[in-house]
Amino acid sequence: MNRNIGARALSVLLVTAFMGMACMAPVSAGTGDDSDAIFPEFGVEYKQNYNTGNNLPNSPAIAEGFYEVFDNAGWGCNFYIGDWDRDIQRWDWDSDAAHVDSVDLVFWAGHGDDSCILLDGLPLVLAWVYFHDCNWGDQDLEWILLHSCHTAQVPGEFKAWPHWALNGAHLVCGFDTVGYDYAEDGAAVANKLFNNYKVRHAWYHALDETHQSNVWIGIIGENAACGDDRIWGEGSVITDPPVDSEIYRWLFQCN
Amino acid sequence: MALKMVGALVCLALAVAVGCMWVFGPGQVPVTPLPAVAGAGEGTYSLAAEFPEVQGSYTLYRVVPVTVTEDRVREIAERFGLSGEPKAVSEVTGEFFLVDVSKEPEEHMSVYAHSGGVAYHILDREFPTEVTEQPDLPSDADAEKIALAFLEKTGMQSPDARVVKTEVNQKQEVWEAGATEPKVSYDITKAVRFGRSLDGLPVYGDEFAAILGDGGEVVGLVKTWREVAPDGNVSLRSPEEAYEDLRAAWTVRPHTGQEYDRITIEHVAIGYWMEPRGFVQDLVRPVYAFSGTALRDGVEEPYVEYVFADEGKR
Repeated sequence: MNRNIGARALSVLLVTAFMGMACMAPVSAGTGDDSDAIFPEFGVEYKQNYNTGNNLPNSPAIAEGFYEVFDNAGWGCNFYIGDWDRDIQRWDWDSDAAHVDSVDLVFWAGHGDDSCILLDGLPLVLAWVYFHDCNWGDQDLEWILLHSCHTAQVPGEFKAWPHWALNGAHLVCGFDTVGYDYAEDGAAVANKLFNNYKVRHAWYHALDETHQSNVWIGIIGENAACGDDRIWGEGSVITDPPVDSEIYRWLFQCN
Repeated sequence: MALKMVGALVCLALAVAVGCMWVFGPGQVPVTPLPAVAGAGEGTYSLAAEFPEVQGSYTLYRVVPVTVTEDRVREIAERFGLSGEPKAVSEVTGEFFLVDVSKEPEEHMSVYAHSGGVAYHILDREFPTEVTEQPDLPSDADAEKIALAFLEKTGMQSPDARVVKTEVNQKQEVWEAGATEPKVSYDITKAVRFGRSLDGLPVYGDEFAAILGDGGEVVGLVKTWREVAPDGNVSLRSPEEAYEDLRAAWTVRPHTGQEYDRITIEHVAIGYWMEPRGFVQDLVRPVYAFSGTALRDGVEEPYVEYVFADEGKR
């Protein structure tokens, strides 16, 4: 038995290295779920009370407002996670297929930055989800809505070493600048998604209802054609786009 | 056997090293984008401005109520040449929504019962999916003339409105993987923004902008412009007290101070506050506006936040 230990360890190393190289240069999106139009699914996660004290009192209302609209519309909810739980594995490249990448649309309300979202304040390695540690869309995910400051500020972060967060996902909607913790935003976005708006337009118009001209909204797409997507059941959705080295971004200033 | 064990340990160490590189990235040391202190109070703010002189009393204003019905929405839509059936789409914001599908491309109008605010959009022209060459946007001076003519044509002008800023308000960009700057960037639309003053003081929060796209066409308009009437007088808290409220996160809008490592307040002014278009507002209260520069990850950003100024209230 012992004679196999070295060989096994070497195999693990080689397989791991191979997977890493494969993830660095993805060429096509995954199609892990082909029943999207019949049974679309969504997930919601939020964070209100941070262990570093920088709390977001309206995060639960934002998340709840979003959840209720989608739940009432008949979408399946795969997860609804709040303060009581925190697990970056739900978002990371190696285990998201059972969580974030198991649904068509994800909504997150909490703190963020230009390279990550914060499931909690500390510790970093257990609470901060870096985009370069994610790999969204190779299983199912089409759209991810990040109600977090600065998350759409540097599109290059979504295709950075060692993993590309944009790996089949169509759109990442976020803020270019700071964003405000308005309780109304979640329901407003969700209502517009079911009211004839493209995903891109719904995100901007909902946030424009509460935010002022010091705020810029950012939306990041695998390509420009993703900007025409509506959610499942509400209009056309493009075929999962081929993943290449380019990223498209729309920037909108609020009024 | 010993050699095999050593080999296995070496492989294990290499695997751990590769795993660590995956977690942290090459040569990356975790950085802290957020301050660790709630309210971003004591250490975050610094004051590099003089406080404004405060008068004995200030006028308090009350919003003149508006009634928004489906007929009212149709009447406003007609001024823009739109037809269609309005429907109430949100109890939260009081939004009525109308789409004129006879137009190519279709045109949208929202009217908000909570404020009387109006939002008009030719979505496919205001927010095109993709551009491959720089749209032909008018100069700032021409944009103002076009905007004013459009307001007159649609009956949306207000005598107390003045142009306060004309600026690019939308961009589209193409980035390369891992890049820190776009390789292509287009300015898509320009906004001509209007503002007003009450009693000689600026009004913050008003939303009144005409949006111009390719060829100088007006492709959007947002106007939340609550009419107001004087409703007595009020004395103000001291700016020093308001500054302490700012540091303690007692702001008009949800607080964002925690997003920054350092905030330098360079200007303090007194004005009036208007809520966003989806909010009900009865009183128009005075505020202190604290503006300056915020620092985040070594990058400077403009900063502005508001604190209610009427005495005894937050």
